[in-house]
Amino acid sequence: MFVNKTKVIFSSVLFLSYFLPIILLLYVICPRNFRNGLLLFASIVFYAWGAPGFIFVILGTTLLDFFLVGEMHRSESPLKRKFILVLSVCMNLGLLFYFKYCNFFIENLNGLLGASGVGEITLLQVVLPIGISFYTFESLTYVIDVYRRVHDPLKNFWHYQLYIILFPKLIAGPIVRYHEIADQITGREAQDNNANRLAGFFRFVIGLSKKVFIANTLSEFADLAFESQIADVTTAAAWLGVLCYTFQIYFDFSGYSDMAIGLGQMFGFSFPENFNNPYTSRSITEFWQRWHITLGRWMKNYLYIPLGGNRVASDARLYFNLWLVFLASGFWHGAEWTFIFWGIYHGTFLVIERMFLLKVYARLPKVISVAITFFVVMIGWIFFRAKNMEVATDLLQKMFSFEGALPQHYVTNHFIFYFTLAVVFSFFGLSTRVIRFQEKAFLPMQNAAPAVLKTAAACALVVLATATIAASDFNPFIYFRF
Amino acid sequence: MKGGFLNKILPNLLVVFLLLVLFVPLLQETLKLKTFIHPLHGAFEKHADAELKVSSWFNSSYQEQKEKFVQQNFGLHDDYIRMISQVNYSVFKKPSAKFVVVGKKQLPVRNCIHRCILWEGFCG
Repeated sequence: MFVNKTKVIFSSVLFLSYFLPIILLLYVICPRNFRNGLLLFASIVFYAWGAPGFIFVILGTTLLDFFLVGEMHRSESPLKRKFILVLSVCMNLGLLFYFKYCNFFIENLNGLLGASGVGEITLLQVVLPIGISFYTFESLTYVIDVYRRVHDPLKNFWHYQLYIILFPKLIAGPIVRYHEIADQITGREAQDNNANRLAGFFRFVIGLSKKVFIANTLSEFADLAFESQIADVTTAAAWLGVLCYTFQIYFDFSGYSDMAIGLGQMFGFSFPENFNNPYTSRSITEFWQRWHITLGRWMKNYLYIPLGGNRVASDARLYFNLWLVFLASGFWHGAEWTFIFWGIYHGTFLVIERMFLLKVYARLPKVISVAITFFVVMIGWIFFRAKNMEVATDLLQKMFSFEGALPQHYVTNHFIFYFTLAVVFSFFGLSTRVIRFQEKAFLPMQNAAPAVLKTAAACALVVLATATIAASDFNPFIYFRF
Repeated sequence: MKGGFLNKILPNLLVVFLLLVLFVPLLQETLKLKTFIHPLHGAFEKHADAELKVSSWFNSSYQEQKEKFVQQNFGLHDDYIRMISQVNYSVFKKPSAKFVVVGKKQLPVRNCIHRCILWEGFCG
């Protein structure tokens, strides 16, 4: 699978020193009536930079979707409404299937055909458009929300275009459901002010720091375990690598989400939260209420509930629904067997928890159930990160073979500092006091002194982060692959 | 925020300050303002600026080249690199240069042995 190498990522010099200051300045001085137009233009430039060919596909499909959904809304015929719904869903999922999954099925079919001595099908030369999984899901929420009459469709095509292509959340979420943002697109004057811009910038910088300082530092150690020859990896290095990846993916993805939410806030939008201290969860069930929350909610509302949800005739059907949703969730992440296994792994734990494990966890001290859940999640990440199932099983075997200590050169002051920060920030949510502080930290500023201090700290951090990025190589976000 | 100052004036002032901070590299690059830090020395590959053509835009080679160019030539680039190198060395004793390690007395020394083993020539 080919993935675009170039894209304006938030943690790049191009974004921080050119795109962001110019767009923010223009937005602040722009009359309110023109602000959506400016954001749409910026979003098109942002996407066209990374996927210049695909921008026309996205413009074309949104145009078609807009008119189809409008027609569906106007129609009183249930049959016609259902037909348009199915047509739109098929069009959006068809695009996703073509770009993301077609070669996966061809490869696996070729495996079967090769075994039976029949010729092979040629793989398609397709480039995976960045963010396709995210905006496909958002397009689906538009048509389904209007079909369910949760919200009226947008009257202006460019407003719909802005909902789909809005650059802060376009490439890696949060997945914003149509009815959550529809009213903000047409009128967000109350939130579109400088106090919110400052709070948003603070949030953006927190996310940037998570990515640049913590995730990027830990990625070096994770890569050593996952990319080296397995014979060169000791048991201690394997454990450290897997642990580092566990923290890396959290700080990478939650950092991106913070940046997206912060940028949205700077432009007057209020995006849903995507993370809530997931490593403090007491079960896998709770983990999925705290990790990638917007994907979990999408899966629940647009797949689990239509399948029957909890209101089914038997427990077996309930477990099957749960398992299927997590299989789909794994497959959504990527067309690889490792992702499918990862989805099945989580789905299986969810079913076991529903059967009896949740009752066991309830009797255990919180620290024990949190530790067990963390361990289960960590083992799952091995399959998520490994390039194939063989690497994953080799690494897993190495972790439990007890061969060799950590090489001396591994641990540096720099690593210890950021690893400690990662541990502290991952588990500080266990304290209710910290949670209250965390909730207050991202609110618009209430007093002068904290406002000045937070802005000054954010400015200092953005300079340090830009300098760190300038001194380093390309550092893409993990979730840009999806 | 309470009162006119806290409600309106302070957020406006802070947003202006924030924009100034974000624009500093662009202003330095455009106006070629002198800084107090010496330019970087050393051996590194210089990336040329990208030439915009329809074909290079659509095959993404323009974007790729432009990003490399910007990464090396944005305003205050040298100042930022020297600053972060100093921070990493002072706080973590972490050297930023490729062939430098931190020695026993916590001073940076050139890792000549490493380069010689890799047959990368004598470095004095």
